[in-house]
Amino acid sequence: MQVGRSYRGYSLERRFALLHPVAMMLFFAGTIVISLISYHPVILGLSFALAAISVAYYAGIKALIQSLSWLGPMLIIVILFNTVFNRRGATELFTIERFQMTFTQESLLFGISVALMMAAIILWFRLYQEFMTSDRFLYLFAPIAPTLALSITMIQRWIPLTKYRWQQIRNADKMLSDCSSSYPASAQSDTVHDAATQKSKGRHNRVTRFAPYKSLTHSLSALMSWSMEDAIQAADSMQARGYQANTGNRDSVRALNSDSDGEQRAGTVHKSPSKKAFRRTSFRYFRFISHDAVALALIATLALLAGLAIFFSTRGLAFFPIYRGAEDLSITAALAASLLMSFPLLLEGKEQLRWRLSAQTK
Amino acid sequence: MTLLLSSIVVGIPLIVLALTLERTKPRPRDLMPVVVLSALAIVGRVVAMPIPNFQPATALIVLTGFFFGRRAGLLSGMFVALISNMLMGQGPWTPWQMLAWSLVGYGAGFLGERISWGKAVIADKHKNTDIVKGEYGTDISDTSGKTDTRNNLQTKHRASRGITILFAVTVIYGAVASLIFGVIMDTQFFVAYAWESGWSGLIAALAMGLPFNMAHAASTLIFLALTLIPWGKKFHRLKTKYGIQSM
Repeated sequence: MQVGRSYRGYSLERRFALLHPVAMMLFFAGTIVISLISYHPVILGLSFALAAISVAYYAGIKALIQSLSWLGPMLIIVILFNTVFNRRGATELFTIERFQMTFTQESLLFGISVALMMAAIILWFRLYQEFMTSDRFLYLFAPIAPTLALSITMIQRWIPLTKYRWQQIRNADKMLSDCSSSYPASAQSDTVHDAATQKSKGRHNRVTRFAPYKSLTHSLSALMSWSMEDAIQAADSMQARGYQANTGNRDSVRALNSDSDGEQRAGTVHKSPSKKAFRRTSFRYFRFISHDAVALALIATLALLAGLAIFFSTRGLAFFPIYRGAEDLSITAALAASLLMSFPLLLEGKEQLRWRLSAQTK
Repeated sequence: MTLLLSSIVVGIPLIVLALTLERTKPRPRDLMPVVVLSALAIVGRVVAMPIPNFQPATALIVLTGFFFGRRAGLLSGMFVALISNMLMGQGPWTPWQMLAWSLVGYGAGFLGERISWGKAVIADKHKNTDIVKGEYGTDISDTSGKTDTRNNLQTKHRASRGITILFAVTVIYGAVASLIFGVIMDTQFFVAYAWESGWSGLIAALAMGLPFNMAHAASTLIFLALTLIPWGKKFHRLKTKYGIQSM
């Protein structure tokens, strides 16, 4: 069976992408919190390894390498910082006599643990980014915080729009400065005019030298006005169509009232503001089916179990003055944590197995 | 453990702030400046990523807070941190950045309420004309209609000094706020990854961060100095043209 590359969690071949957003969110919250509880090497290693495998599986090997490439220098800084500035710890690695600096094994171990935890968390967030698309985000948070959720989605839309507009403005600016010498931001003037004209306009040399920067600020200003006017029109358009009509925003209700088509509806809103009749709907609808209930229950149980077991069994772990307590991790903790963290992968495995079996029986 | 605890300690005020802002139910129209300027800041931050810490995001947050109110600055700070990290990599630093930038935006809003932009700039624009007229009707109602020349000259003098003060105060605020932002983020580094090193570790973290924070402050200073007056005029016009209220 050929498995297609998932694109932002939309691939239908990925079972995890079909999970209800609530279960998905709980998975990410549980995993990240559990990775933060303990510095136990087993838990840290599990978390990092499973995060890396999941990112490679869902987002591709390239995405994993890209994440690790900017992560690497940061981890090195964290490890070095802890080794250099932390003098606690009993086991001496080496000493630089000249500066009277002692480097201890414990501080190095501590640095590595912290760096590993950081790497694991960042990779889990990378996976989160892969699945928590803006429609899922809106579905989850629009009922709780409609304005904030809307703003976040709008900003996400405005980012590519801003880039596109910037390109348009720069193109226009470049064209104008190439074609017209009188255009104030004539940055490329020396490519158009020959040296003689340049010389005759010696007085303007200072102007031409600063022209590129001037044209840059000019373009930035144009970009801001363009985006702003457009955004305000979008807001007006939303309000005219009854955005926030049920949330008690008076302007929206008035806009609905003046709308001839919506006269009937608006009337009912005014008389009986029943929430059921005019409830905000989501762009994408997610059905909560029995599979989701099972997944949710599983994730919640595993997360709770893993969290408590890790917390209580690794309380003896200490780095200073001597690294100790790494051996008493309960099997329950390790098992529950690994099951929880590999939940998406197990889900995919289950589906694959089912597919293979059904193909065999035919 | 401190990573988890510090995230919770920083996360709770953020959630409370977000829900409080939600309950004020701002109009979509008043939110638009925040949306547009946050998007600009995010694009600026992502584009300027190769140069460490040299980015216009803080300057844009200061502008948002200064011209569109404290809550706008607060929201803008939260959005810029949250969404730019979606592109650059989310991590344990996100809540801290959200809080630090919100504080920067809130402070700028506080400053914007103290210094009246409308009076200073519009009076400055008219300082060469004989009669100071209120532009767009409302802004300088207290100075319009005054025909006494001596009084008028005093107004002009005050106005042009006003704009200098406004410019200086805002640009300096931007630089100082960038430094404070940097100090908060260095503290985050210390608290999250190196708290076992003790006080010497904190001092080392702050010292190591200093060059980066200086670069950040310089970028904010330059960007604010370039945009404050021309963009301020545009913002002011936008506010009067579309009836945008400060949040």
